[in-house]
Amino acid sequence: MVPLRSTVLIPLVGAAFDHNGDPQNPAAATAAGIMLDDLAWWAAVLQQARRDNPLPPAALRKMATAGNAGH
Amino acid sequence: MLNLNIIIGSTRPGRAADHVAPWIAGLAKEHPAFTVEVLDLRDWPLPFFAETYQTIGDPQHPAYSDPIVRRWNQRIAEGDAYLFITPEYNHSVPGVLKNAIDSVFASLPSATSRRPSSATAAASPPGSGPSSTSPTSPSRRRWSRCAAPC
Repeated sequence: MVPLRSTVLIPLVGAAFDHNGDPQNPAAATAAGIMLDDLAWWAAVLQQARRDNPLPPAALRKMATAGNAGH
Repeated sequence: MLNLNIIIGSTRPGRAADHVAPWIAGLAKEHPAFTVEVLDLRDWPLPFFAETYQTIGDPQHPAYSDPIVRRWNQRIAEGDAYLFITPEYNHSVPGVLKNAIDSVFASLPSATSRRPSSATAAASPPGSGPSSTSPTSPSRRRWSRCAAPC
């Protein structure tokens, strides 16, 4: 998993949304837009990278090495 | 199109996610890059994580000891990106969400490998902002290391 820095933080959540279900604080929508754009960018880049160069995850390579070493 | 999995990380009655999830899912569905699937952990009564390398079988195609854990892994493997909706309990994520992440431990290598994740976090105590998913918070760093070995 590739954790991104972009997050949406909603403090005082009990009063954070209006009766339409939208955040009272416009900064929340701005942060959400940035987060979704970042997710889309990374998801597309990583999807292509997985296709072009499938690299076995470190845990599996570690297990393979341990197997080859006879453990 | 990229498959975005939105994972609702609380199952508690009256959870704040019932306000957060419809809003963020609506925005995500309007985004041209994504097809959106909401995975509500209320629909996934996963057992407490107790898998071992013996019970998962072939790590490339993990079998798992419980059918629902196997289905959960298969569903997670279909995602291209993940968005966690989480409250903050005791400076961290709820146990039910941690358990759901633990339950794909074999798929963290094989299913979620090199896929991006982000979080929407909510907190309610007056005077406290969400810190469990703050990039600089110790719990976020621990969680990231735990959930993202590769």
